[in-house]
Amino acid sequence: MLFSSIDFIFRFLPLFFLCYFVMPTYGRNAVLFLGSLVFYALGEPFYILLMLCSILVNYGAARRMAAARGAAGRRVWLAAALIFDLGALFVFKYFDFFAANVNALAGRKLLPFLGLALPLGISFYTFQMISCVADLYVGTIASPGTFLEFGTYVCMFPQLVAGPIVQYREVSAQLKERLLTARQIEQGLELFCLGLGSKVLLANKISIFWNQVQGIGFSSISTPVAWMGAIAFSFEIYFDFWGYSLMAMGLGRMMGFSIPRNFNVPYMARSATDFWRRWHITLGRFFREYVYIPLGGNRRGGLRTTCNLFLVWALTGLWHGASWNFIVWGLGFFVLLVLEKNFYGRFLERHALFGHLYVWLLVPVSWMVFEITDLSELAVYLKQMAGIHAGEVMVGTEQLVRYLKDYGWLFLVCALCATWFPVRLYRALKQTWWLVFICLAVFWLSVYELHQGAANPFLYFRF
Amino acid sequence: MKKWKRAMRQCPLAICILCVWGVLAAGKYLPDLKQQAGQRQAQENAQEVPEELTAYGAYGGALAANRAPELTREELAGKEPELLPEGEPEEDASAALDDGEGAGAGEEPQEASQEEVPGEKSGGAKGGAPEKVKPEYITYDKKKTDSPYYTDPGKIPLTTEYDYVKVSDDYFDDAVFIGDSRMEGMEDYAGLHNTTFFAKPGLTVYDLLDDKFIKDADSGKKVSIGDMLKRHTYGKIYLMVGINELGTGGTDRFAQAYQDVLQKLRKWQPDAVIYVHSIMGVSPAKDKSDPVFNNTNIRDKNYAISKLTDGIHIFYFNIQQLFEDENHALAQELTFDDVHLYAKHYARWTDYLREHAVEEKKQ
Repeated sequence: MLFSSIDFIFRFLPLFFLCYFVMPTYGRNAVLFLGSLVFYALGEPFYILLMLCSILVNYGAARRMAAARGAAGRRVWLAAALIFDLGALFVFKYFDFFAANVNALAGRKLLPFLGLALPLGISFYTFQMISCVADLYVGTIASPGTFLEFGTYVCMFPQLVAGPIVQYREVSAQLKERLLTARQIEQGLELFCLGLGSKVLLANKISIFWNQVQGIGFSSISTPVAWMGAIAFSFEIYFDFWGYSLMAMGLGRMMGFSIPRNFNVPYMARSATDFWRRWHITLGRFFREYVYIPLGGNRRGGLRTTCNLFLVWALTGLWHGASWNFIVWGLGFFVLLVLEKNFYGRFLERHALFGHLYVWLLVPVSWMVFEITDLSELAVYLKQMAGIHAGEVMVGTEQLVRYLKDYGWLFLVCALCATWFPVRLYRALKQTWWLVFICLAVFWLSVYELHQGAANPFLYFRF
Repeated sequence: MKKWKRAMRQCPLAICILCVWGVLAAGKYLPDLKQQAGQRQAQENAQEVPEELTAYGAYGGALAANRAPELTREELAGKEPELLPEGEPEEDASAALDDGEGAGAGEEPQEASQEEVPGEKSGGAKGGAPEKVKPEYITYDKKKTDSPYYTDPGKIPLTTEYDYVKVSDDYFDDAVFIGDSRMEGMEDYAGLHNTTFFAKPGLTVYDLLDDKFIKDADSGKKVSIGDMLKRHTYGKIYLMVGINELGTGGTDRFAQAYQDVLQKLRKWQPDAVIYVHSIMGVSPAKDKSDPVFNNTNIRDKNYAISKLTDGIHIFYFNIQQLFEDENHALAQELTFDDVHLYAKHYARWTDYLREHAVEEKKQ
């Protein structure tokens, strides 16, 4: 079930919060745990077994690890948990990709395809469990708490399907006891409304344009239209993901959790390095803390650092999906980061204008690498962006003018909302009636839009 | 009171949202109840609705909730009694159109008023009057369907047989192209520049003539296709519509509406050749997964459309054949969204039109 669906907002959420607030504090974890299971089961009735199984295995390993005396015992349980988690992730997410590549290399059908559907949120909850188990191993946290606490941590529905990737130590205290004030509920609701607006009013709207470009076919578009498409997709993915993260934060706060921030105005970054400090912060943090630093980080010489970075970015790419374009995408950032680290990073940080232009130029290109799974199609698109047209350009100036007329304002609004402006406005209007009014308007407008589209793209895809 | 004031100060947003929700819910729930009562009444009145159809009322309702809430729900509620099992009314209706045609074609096509007098058989076989060309079909084994919107016709109509000629692009100078988003694709990518397009995404046969979406160059006002057709004279009318309304009522109702449109076109443009396009199919992926927007439904509608053509004034183009795979579905590699062609493939369509022109209208 999506957060941005009428069913979630008007059925699941009121019912859940009714149960949650009626329940005395000691029972709230149970309500949240069960509610989250219901939430998951509504979208994924079968794979919920996989998730429960993962929780049990990881909790068992975590308990054993907390009880084990020697380092050897802890290592065994860590290995067990990791093998299970990564194994499940490999089988469900990467096996077919792996098999396809092995078969291609071997030149014959060596491995069969499993054709498994990707379990909802597996990439996120697996990482959360890994982070908890790893923290236990290192000793950052001492105990995984009760089963209910651990289970609630893994599958609490605000962050279950699309993050942020919360670390256990951030919420362990709140899982035991959390203070809930009216003010917090109010703030949570504000965040939820604004997140909903970001998803429904900005991301969904601008996705229409990107779909249109895809529908035309990449071989027929002109260079400006190709750039407009890339920019539209950049806005779409940002407002979609940011909106979702805001909603997660808001829902968390309404229950007394402080879910970490996932985005910090990424499109105002001054370099690719800076961009990744601001984009999907919790994922970057995961790879830094659990891959990069354990490998030695940057303390073992330049070559080792570069190797570590390479691995981290190949994995970051792969995490986003089982396809070569994601790996290319991740490695593209690896190249940029290495270049920035060794050559022009300082320059960009110092000269804001160049930094911004650099990011605004590269980010849309990188998102195209991310979005277009088929490598030959991707090549066509990048060529169109570069102005190398192989075929006849059918969508040229005439259509461009129309697109600008139809979507120009939307691009402007998106651009404005991708700057510091909304964040500063939010801070400035805190605790005023203006903010209430804005949130209210955004909320009901979003609901209206959702109602019109009835949670399906029919409105957007009118034939 | 004090408590309320404090709550209002602390969570104004929560309270506002709840209040508005309460009001809206109340406002929505009451009409819903009324509508349900009306629907029950309508169902009770409609004795002749066969059992399967009433059974699918619920299914249709669920679909409606999923798909296009307002439209379909209302249509279903209001129109269910009209969904008769076999296409009798549409046969009658097409006969009525033929009569009008025959009478009109005999002497004075301009005398469109004759159309208002159905049932009067006059023209038909008279003197040198042209004979109606019946559409030909590819037949296949019907499949059982369980939809309130369509049945499997078991037939795919072919392009009307005629000695078409090849023409150059100036043939389209006095043509008008009317249709939905796929006709709009034609407008954008087919390379016909010196012609008129009235195309809009989401256009249906039900609002085709009345939807005011055209900006009139003279007055600057928004006008409808009907207005334009009344005002200007066109030599050829190319029409493709029907995919958006696949889930709005059954095929009979669709055929009736389509026929009404054709009658009006004939009335307003008696000298124009009308080329009716088949509704282009959807890709196999969509065909398999969609209970409404699938090729069986489209074939049912196409079969109904083809019966309204006569090969004298109204010609049927099985445009689907240009883009179909071996199962007569829209070939998957030609489309991104399972419905629309990639821009570069529209050229095939234009070529087809260039090769299929009715040069002189038969008198």
